[in-house]
Amino acid sequence: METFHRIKNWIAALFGHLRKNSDLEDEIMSHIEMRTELNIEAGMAPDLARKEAMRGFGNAEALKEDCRDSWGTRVVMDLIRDIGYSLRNMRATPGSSILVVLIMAFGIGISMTMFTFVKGMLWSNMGFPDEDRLIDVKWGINLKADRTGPHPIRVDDYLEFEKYHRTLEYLVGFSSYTPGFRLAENSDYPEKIRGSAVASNFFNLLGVSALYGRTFGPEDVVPGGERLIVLSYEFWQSKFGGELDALNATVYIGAAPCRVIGVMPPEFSTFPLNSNYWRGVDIDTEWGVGQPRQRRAMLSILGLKKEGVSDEQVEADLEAIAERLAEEYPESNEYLRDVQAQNHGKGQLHGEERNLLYALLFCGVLVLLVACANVSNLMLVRAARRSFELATRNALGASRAHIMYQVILDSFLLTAIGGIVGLFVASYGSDYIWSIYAPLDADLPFWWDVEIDVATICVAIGAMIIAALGGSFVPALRGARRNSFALLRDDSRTSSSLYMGKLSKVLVGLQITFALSLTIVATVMVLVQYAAVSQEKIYDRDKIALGFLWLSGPLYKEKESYLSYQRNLRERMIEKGAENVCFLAAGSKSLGEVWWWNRFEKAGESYGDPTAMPEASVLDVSPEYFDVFGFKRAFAGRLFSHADTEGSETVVIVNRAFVETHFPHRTSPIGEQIRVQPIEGRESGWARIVGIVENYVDKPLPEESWSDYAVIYRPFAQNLVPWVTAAAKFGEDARPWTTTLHREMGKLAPDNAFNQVRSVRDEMAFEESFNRLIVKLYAFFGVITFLVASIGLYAVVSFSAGQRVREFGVRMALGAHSKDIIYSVAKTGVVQALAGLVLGVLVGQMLAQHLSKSMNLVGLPPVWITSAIAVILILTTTAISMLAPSVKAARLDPVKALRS
Amino acid sequence: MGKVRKELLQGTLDLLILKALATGRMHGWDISKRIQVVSKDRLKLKQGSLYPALHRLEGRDWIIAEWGVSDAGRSAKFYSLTKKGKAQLEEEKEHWLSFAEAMKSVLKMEEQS
Repeated sequence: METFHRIKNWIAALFGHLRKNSDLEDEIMSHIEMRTELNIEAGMAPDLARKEAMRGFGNAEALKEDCRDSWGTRVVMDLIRDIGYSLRNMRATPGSSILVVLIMAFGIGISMTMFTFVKGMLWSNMGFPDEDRLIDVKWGINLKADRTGPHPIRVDDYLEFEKYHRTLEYLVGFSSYTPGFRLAENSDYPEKIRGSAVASNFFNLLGVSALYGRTFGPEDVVPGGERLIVLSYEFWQSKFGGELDALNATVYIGAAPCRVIGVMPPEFSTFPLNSNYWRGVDIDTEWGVGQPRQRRAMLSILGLKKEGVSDEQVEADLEAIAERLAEEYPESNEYLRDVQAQNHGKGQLHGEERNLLYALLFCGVLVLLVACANVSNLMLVRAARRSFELATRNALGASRAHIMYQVILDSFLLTAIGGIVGLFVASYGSDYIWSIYAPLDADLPFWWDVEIDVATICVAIGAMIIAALGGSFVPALRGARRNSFALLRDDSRTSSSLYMGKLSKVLVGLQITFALSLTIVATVMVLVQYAAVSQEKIYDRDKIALGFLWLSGPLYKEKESYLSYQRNLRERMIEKGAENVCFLAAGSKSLGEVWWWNRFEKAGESYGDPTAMPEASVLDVSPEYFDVFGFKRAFAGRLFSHADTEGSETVVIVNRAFVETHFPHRTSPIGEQIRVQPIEGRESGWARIVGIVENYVDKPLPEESWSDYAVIYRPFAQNLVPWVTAAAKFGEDARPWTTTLHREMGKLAPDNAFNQVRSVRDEMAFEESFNRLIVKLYAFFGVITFLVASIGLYAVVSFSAGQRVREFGVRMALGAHSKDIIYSVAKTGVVQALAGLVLGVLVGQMLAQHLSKSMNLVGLPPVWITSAIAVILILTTTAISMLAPSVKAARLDPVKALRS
Repeated sequence: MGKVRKELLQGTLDLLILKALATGRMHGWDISKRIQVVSKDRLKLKQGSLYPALHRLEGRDWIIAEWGVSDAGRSAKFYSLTKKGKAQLEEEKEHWLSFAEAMKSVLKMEEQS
């Protein structure tokens, strides 16, 4: 209770101190006047009566102090007074004050931007009731150690998992697609709207219910029954203007009528993968059960673990089912025995991307450390400047604790101002980064929330406190320890304690270490990405347009219509002006280069373990591919022709990198048989190598070998898949042609899904957006570090030179030359700076190595190059920041300097 | 009986003020006068102790203050007892009386000599 009153009084004191004070004055006056009147009544003259009343009252000032004590506001008032004092002190030393604020604003701004960014992507919550138990289920050959990646799960396998799992409450298959969407049956041109086809227990799994209407469950979705959809809030708002008439409305997806039965709440957002609506699917009739195995739908799978079950237990449970399937269907499933269960929220970024983000956060912390070292140094300078004043206070009886408190408060105030500015920087910074990044990623998880929130502010306050204490504790200790008598006796301003102390030099060294480490990491990252972007390809990135489509319905199911679609599109595009058009069985990610790392077998060799088989990337292409992508001819054998179809002999073409890697001792592998492991569940038999083509790059990236570029090309017609990329080559810039390609693709298949059509260059930029953003951030880090480091160095050297003005005056009067003065200023802390340089190179290279390993970076530039670049940059910065104060010192007029 | 010693007065200052205010609202000058009169001049409150004590008691919500006009037509700050203050007065009175009783018994003890 006592504490409560105290706090209440403090708060009251903050807001009502002045009012209370005047109240007290009035009260005292009224008391004195009453007494005066009494005295007058007793017969005294008015003047004397008043004097007597005042004398009788006693020491009014002491009484006021006692009253203020009883308000319990002395601590607060003292604090306000000290803050006032510190503010006056700041005004007296505007240069170093502004620098500390600026440096702290940079340090907090950058580190908090990174924290916000990383927190948003790694630690945001989805908002589902049981999101901790919500998992993605993936499978593959050896997911933990394989670059072949996960395989989509075929509907048959999904049904087996769904039937026999024991560790899950729900297992739900879904597939995101972008079919034509029409509000009325007679709308002439359907819109491409992304939605999800989901198993009927989708909403049970997530445990969310509709805002209006209802969701569907297993009882609603029956064979031959009505098709039901639930809309996302945003989609309902934009398409139906938020009207409740939308409920029970009929819309057309593809050609099929579907009834709207509900609208989800806004916070449910567009899960998964930015769906605008969810349609309940009857698996048996719609997802191809009963069709040939290789034509059945491929799904993504979500699961909800039972309480207390670990990911490993789910994996073991499902792997047992996978084992059985592998034995039952060796043709398609033989090697698919490895299941991975991973939390859905946390699994959005793979390990390398997560490491990249952690590395960014770490670099943010490094920037903050550079800033702290700087602030600490500046606080030392400030304390040194105040040493005379602090010594006087000490001599007058101020306790050491109070002197320390003064110095620390000074630092706290400056840091707080810098920190608040920094938070604004972080708020704008993270918004800016997000505004660049978010539009580039169509599959951005809706729950990633990159915004400054309470948690960020708490972390920022923590960082500020640490920075303020870290920056001022030692200066405060030194300020308080100073021998006041010696200092006061020593009239000269060149007293040794005012020099840039050893500690300050060590801080400069540390700062150089941090800055250099960061620079090396930034240089490595920028160079790695530059190498990847600048690698020469055999085709012209600007002249090829790519359009990705996912065919469904009769177009895909009937092979003839599928192939005729391709033929028609090719003919029409050539009519319009394209030089050639080809088709690749590739998602947009492949860019027609690396499709899918896969294992293969060579005839006549046996492999005990599937992971012992050799690897190559596999790409299914139409015969025109080689012309479109700049392969002029086959080195040996032939290219594909339209005669390579499902009925003819299964053939493949390989590139020179493949031959060098996998048939190094053969003159020609033409005629050899190889068998590629199933991709996406498509079985593949033995195929004969019929041709060899050149490599698609001029040389591998540094630290890569030709084995990383080994490709097996297969005829598209022998491996039909629903997803296909059309690539059209033009004699000029392909960009203006992208709309033509898009329109023609749409005209030929109005009910099918198309993504944005782009030139290869734009597509690469899009695919690389995450990496490019990261590189930009690193480059930004580099620049900011330079800025902070140079400001700090300049400030320290210039202030310490400023303190020695009289000394320089004496030295120049005694005959010292300007260059002696320059040398004397510039050599300040050179040893420590050199030590920082060496340490920085070591730490920076170690960090860069570690990062590149954990991120699987290729094309790492040689150590000496990055070290040299970083050292030159840092030395230049240091030299510039030291030169200015040195020259200024050397230009001093000795007479003026001595008088100062 | 001479004047009560200062240190005794200090310990019972709060009680004296609360008791004085129990008779009605009054300003600082009134309180000190009332105590002086009732104690037949044996207790004299110094302003230096009275006002800080009043502010302390106000801070504890035992009394509240408001500006008003005195009988002499002068504006003055009047204090009155709160509910909490009344309870506190009872408690302190009880405590003080039992202490005084105890002291009385001890002091009246027959001396053996």
